[in-house]
Amino acid sequence: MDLYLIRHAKAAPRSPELEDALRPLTPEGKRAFAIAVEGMARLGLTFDRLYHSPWLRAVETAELLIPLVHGETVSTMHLADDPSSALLRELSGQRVALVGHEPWTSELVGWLIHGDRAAGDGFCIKKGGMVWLEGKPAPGQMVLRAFLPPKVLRALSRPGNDDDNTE
Amino acid sequence: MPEPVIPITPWLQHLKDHVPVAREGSDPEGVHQLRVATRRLDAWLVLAQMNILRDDLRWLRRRASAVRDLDVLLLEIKPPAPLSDWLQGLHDTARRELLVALEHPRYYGLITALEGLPPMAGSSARLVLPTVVRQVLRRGKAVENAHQDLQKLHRLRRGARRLRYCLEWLGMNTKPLKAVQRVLGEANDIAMTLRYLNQSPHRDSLSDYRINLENQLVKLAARSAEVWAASRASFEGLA
Repeated sequence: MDLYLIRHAKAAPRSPELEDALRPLTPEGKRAFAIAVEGMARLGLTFDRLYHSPWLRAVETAELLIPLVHGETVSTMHLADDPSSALLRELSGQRVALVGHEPWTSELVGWLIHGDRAAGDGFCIKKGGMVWLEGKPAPGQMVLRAFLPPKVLRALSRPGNDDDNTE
Repeated sequence: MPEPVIPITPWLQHLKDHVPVAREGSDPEGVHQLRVATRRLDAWLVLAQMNILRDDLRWLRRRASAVRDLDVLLLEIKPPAPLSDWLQGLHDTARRELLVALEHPRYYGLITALEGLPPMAGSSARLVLPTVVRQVLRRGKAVENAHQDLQKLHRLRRGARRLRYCLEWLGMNTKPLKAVQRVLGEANDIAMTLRYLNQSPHRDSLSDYRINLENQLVKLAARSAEVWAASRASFEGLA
């Protein structure tokens, strides 16, 4: 399986007036991630299944990925929680995207590569960034293929133009 | 003056209210209303131009439909034994699968995600409507050209239903579409009965019943095309 773990794009800041799960993407977050998706498209990425957290910022990020999805999308509570065996059992497909949150996404990366969730501390996925893993989706059974910060994904959308400093 | 918005809340609440009834199982209305709610929510997503979550609604609706279709067959159409006994076995299996779905992380993910969606702007929703109307008109044209084609009738029925729900969200008149939906729904019930009969081991022993259903279906298909032709003009202007 090729597994693409994506952190949601830039969202409204935490606030006492807004429940964490209801924080939307900012207009700039949407714009920047739409460009990152163009970069993914230029890499030839497509997904035959996309799993996402049900929290609003992940739902909105997943919506922006729809042009790359050639199969089903799945909303799952498992991506709004610590990485679990139940999540791994749920995964199916050959080219699978996950849209989730930190620190869980990094912990999942550490767990899948090293068999240790704490190893996720070594991976800092920025908002709108992506990690590409390959192998069997089981602890310690995947290898890192690429670590793509959002700035790199956006630059990929315009080959030859690397002056995009939007963050 | 603030722009009017359309919250998803009423039909999401409707769904949540009927899930316990669907789980309990003694009142078929629970599953019926659960399925109805998934369709209304899907229409809301169409108007909001969202693709995400529609697969989850479809996933849930398929499980509800497997139960509801058999409820309609067993409680309203009432086919003869031994077909009814065979259908009851399918119903029990479909019900078990629905109960599993209603405890699945995907179901809870769907509900949580829908609860988080902000209301959509009425003005942008209205801009989507002509696309939905044109799709129904195209499907209607296909029926007019070949009104005995059950697949085309089926597509028109689904398109007309989606349009009706979109109009409901926008607070517009749905009366002409209700008439179309009613007759197309009757045709679909008979087509569904025939489909199950033909899949069952009792197809040959119930040949008289089968012929009777086939005759009913021919009449209802012709009637559907007539009702469509009579009501089409009432919403052509929306395209």
